[in-house]
Amino acid sequence: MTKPPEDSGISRREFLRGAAGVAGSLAVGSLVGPELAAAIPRRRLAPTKVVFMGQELTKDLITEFEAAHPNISLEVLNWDSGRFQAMMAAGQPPDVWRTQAPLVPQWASRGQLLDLDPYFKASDLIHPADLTPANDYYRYKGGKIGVGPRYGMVKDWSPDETVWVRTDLFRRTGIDVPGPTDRWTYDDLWEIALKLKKKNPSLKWILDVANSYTWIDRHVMVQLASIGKSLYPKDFSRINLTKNPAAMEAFRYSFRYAQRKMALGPENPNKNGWSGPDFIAGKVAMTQYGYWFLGMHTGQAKASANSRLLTAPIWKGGKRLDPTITATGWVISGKTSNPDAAWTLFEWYMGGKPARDRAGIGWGVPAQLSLFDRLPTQTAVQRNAKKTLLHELPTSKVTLQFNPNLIGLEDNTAVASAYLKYIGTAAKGKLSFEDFMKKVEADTNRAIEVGKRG
Amino acid sequence: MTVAAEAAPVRRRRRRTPMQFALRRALDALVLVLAVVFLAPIVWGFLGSLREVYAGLTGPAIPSPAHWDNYSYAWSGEFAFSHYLWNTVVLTLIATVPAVMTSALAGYAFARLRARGRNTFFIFVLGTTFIPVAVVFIPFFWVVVKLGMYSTRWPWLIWGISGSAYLIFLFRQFYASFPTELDDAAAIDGCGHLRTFLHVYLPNSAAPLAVAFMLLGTGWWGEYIYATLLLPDQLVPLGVKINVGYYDPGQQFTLVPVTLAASILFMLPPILAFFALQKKLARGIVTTGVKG
Amino acid sequence: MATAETSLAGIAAKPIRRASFRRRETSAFYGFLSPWLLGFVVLTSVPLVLAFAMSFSNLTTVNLHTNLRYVGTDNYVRAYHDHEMWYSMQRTVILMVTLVPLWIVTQLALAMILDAGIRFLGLWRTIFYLAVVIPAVSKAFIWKAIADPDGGLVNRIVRVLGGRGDTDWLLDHPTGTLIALLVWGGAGVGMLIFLAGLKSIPQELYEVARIDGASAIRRFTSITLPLLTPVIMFQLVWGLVGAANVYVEPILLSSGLQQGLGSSVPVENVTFNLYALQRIFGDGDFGYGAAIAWIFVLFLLIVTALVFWSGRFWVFYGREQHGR
Repeated sequence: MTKPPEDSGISRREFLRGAAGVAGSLAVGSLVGPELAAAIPRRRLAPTKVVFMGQELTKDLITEFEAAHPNISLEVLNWDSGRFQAMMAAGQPPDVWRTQAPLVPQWASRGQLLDLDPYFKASDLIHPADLTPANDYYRYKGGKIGVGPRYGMVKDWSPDETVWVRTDLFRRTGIDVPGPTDRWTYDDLWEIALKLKKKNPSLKWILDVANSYTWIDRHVMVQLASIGKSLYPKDFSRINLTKNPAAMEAFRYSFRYAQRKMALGPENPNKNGWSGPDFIAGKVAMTQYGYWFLGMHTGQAKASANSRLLTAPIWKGGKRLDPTITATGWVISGKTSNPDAAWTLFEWYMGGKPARDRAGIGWGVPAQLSLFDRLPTQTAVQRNAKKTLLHELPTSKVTLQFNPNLIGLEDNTAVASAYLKYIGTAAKGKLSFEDFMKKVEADTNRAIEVGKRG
Repeated sequence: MTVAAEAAPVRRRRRRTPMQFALRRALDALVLVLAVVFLAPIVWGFLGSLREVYAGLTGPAIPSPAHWDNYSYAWSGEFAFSHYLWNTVVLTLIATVPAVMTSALAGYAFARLRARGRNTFFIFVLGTTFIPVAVVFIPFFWVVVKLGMYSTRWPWLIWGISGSAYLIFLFRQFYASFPTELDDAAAIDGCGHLRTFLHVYLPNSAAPLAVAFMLLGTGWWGEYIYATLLLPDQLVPLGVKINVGYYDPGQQFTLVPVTLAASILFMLPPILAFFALQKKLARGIVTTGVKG
Repeated sequence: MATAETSLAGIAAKPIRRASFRRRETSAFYGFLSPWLLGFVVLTSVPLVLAFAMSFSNLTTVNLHTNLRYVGTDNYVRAYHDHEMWYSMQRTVILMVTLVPLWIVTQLALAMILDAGIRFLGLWRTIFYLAVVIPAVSKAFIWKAIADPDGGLVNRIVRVLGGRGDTDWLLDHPTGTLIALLVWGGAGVGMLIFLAGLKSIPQELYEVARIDGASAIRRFTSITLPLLTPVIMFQLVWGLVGAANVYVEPILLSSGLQQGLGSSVPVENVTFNLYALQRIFGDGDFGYGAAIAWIFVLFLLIVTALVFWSGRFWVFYGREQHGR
């Protein structure tokens, strides 16, 4: 078999599995070292099966795990939300599954997750004191995220609102590129975007806003949090949008990019459905992806030489705060019949060799501070990304409160789904911004009502 | 072509005018074009299954050299193909064999037995086919869960035992056209209804049985959604596994040629069954007939 | 020929009545029907009633034992305001009105060609029928190979003909691609049924028409079509039900990491059935899904009732008087 060509188009969803895949293939050949001994369970477990649903466990990782844990067999299911719901409804959910921060409260508040505190306390591989603050998105108690027991842990995270820019596109049009740790605001970003568009009219996408809007609500939530405002009242009983001037202003800011055909979304689509490959190819000037996108630069010499990660812009009148919005990780089911075996898998993947391998490839920031010295620094872009990351790190702390009434399984919550549904019509001017927001508000409130009943 | 000779309609020989001769040729050409259109997808899928593993679908139309090793990778590379093939066989058999039997029995009852409520029930049988999948599947899912049959093959057996409305209709049509003299002979011999059915009707039902096995069997062979929603990984049929696709060891790229090779392997058993049964199949549909 | 003819008229055949049989007939009838009756109860009646009850509840995947309660007509009110539901109904209607005529025309055309005394009949019949036996998953992968923007068969042909050939058919024309798949995969059975219908038309009628000097078109419109109307009615009803129930193929044709009901099916291909299943197994919202599924039952009921009612104006039941 020949190697796959480097410029193969990867779909966005295929890409979302990226981190795991690369980690898996890098791990091949160097496995079963003495370190693995640490991962072998101390007490003998009855032969048992652990069901995992998610993408990151490659065949190599499964073999590696089963070789080190002969008492546990792994059943890995591809992510399929229909199957997940059926398993949930039947009272037989997967033992462990992959998720993102905004989805955790819905399960935690309904008693569907296993409290992992006792396991963390007893663990030799993972020490709570070593965990980065992003892991606190998997803590939940009494309607509040960031406190109480740990229900899971990030497999990797990122200050997602930091901005990748193509320096070659900037220079070609004579615009100064901000430095990797320069303080800048969303107004600066808008000015730069306008200039880029003006001086380079053939450029189809200037800025990818919030991962093609799939994270639009989290994006706005960070902006609002920096000025002490929120999308939701304390009890999360509704979304405050059209009567919330701060929220309207934040949404209007993002909407302006769509109106001018500068963003990437249903109103101005590309073939891949996400901006990654086009950014690497130099067809997108800026994308607000965060540190994990560094992984995409591996082996891409031209992109690596012309790409720079900038700090998260600051919302006007706001203060700097943690720009983390995804925090992809794992949780363990509260209904698992083999909590110990499930934990063994969890602990091995999160604290064993796979975690160390992952830390070195740039697809996301490790969950443990002790793994930071493994961050890649061979190329200039890797060193730049690390610098920006360390600049953002002091702000790291749970700042967002996701709505536990918004239930769902996809990356985009009801708000983003509604936004994506109407943005095309609104950007064409067939729907005024106020009516657009009214529709998003109505759709979201219906979703919240459903969540409240359940 | 014995099949052609056998099934060609008997028509009076007529002398052909040049116009009619031209029409014949045009018809031959048309049928050839249509055959190419109908076969092209299958041939294209087959050609795709022989391409270089990372090439996707690019390259010359006819891949050279042909990568037959895609088939061995499809068989053993990603998962135990034979294990899931066996699952598919089991699910198909337990859902199809009882269904064909009970449908034939019910079709016979509707065609030959007089009883109060017969017509009402026949309307119910036809009515069930109009009920959308979603409506019955949602609550049926809960029934399955409540009965402890989630992640077992029992639902397939239930689907099997309860038969199929379409097949009941088919058998009813077939048995309604059966010569009644057979009944009389059986009655004189002192046969009960069940024995009449088993000894007189069933042995003479090869054609509709072939139709029934083929129609229902191919349906269950490729069934996909129920299996993903109800079965654990070790019991799912091949379709569920193949649909995930084949990936390179780093899980970054779909190996399109291998996935196509698996699709071809997956469709071989029903195609072979179809070739084996096709004579009876054509006759079965012809003789069972349809009336709205 | 004789068999086919008797079978079509055979519905009218009455079972013989003999004293020794009649006593046991009723019990035998219900005995023979019992497996189906069991299925009817477990698979249809109980689920239908349960679905109806569910549609007035807040049932989700996680609240069966904690917070299940009656919510009145909430789900139906929500459905009324749900644009996506109405859009999915619109897409289903579009599928029904495009697929059914396409099916009937293709099936009838193939049947007529096969009935025209063509050579190698068995071979052609096999080829046209072959797609029916291919499992849906294989069909979908084959279709993806045809519709692929770079190496797909369609774009290669377009390029040979001088076009640009860079259309991503599954993305740019999802419904057209889906319809093409369904026509290809669904023509075979109907073709055989039409063929049976054509063979049951007495040849004498055509002979008489020829002697009277009727043109081929005239023979088709005056003899073939009217005598086929019962078969057309049958195919129309089955076609409408089949088209309304399309939901697996859109899932299998969608690409991406997600499988099954969670896969990102383009909105144009989210049929009503699929939309209901997505609400249930995508969102875990059983109550709402049951409500829209029931709306779908009513919709299908009305459509099929209308079709049956329309039959009195165009279906020709006067076959017997033309019999031999």
